[in-house]
Amino acid sequence: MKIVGVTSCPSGVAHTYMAAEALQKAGKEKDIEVHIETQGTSGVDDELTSGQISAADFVVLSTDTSIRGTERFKGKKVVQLTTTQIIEKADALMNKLSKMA
Amino acid sequence: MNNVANFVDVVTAFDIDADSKEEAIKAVITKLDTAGKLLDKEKFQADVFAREAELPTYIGFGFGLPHSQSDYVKDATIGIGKLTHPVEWNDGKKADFIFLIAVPYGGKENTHLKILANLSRLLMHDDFRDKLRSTSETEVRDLLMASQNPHRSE
Repeated sequence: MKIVGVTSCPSGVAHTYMAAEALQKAGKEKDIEVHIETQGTSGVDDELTSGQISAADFVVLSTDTSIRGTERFKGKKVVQLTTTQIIEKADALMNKLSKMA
Repeated sequence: MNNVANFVDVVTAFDIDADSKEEAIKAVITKLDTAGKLLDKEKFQADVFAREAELPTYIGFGFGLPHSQSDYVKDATIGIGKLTHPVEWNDGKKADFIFLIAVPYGGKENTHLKILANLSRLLMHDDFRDKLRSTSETEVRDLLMASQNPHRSE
């Protein structure tokens, strides 16, 4: 299974990156390929490629602030959660998505 | 990766005896102010609480991560607070460790933001959190300075 995602938060300093790390860590532990783009105050990091997006089974987007470039995910299965939910439940999320894939 | 010490200062406040989240955050902010990291303590405090009200910053594992990019910060600083007993952070969740991130506004230099981003990533790892909890106040600064992000996706 492959997952891509974009995280962002109001101040763009902390939760953006914690959520990204939580998803990447959970993916690594479960052998799921995960690519997360961060949209923070210091700019966009790890911008998703069109190849990564088209290969993804699911897209995870944070809902704290509006994500830029959501048109890239048109037609994909999108899961939306707050960064706090992602941080706390990344493992459970990965398990759930694995079952749905 | 640049050395954290060049861009971010660390201030510690261990053994905070507080009965509320507000009291605990204020104790850490007072330490930052005493260390000369703030331009206006009261206004910075207001910025932190405004951010906190917008979306509470409990991140799990007993950690609260109040933070603000504020006009009233002089130098980018991480304030680490350890509480003698947990306080309710939000939605019944309790924190006994505070990681307060104070970042000044403006400036062309965003290296400190990148470093803070990496530190935020580090907090997601149990081994780092365990080390943080078991390290003494005098050594916690060295722990942070020595830490780099374990795995970025690129």
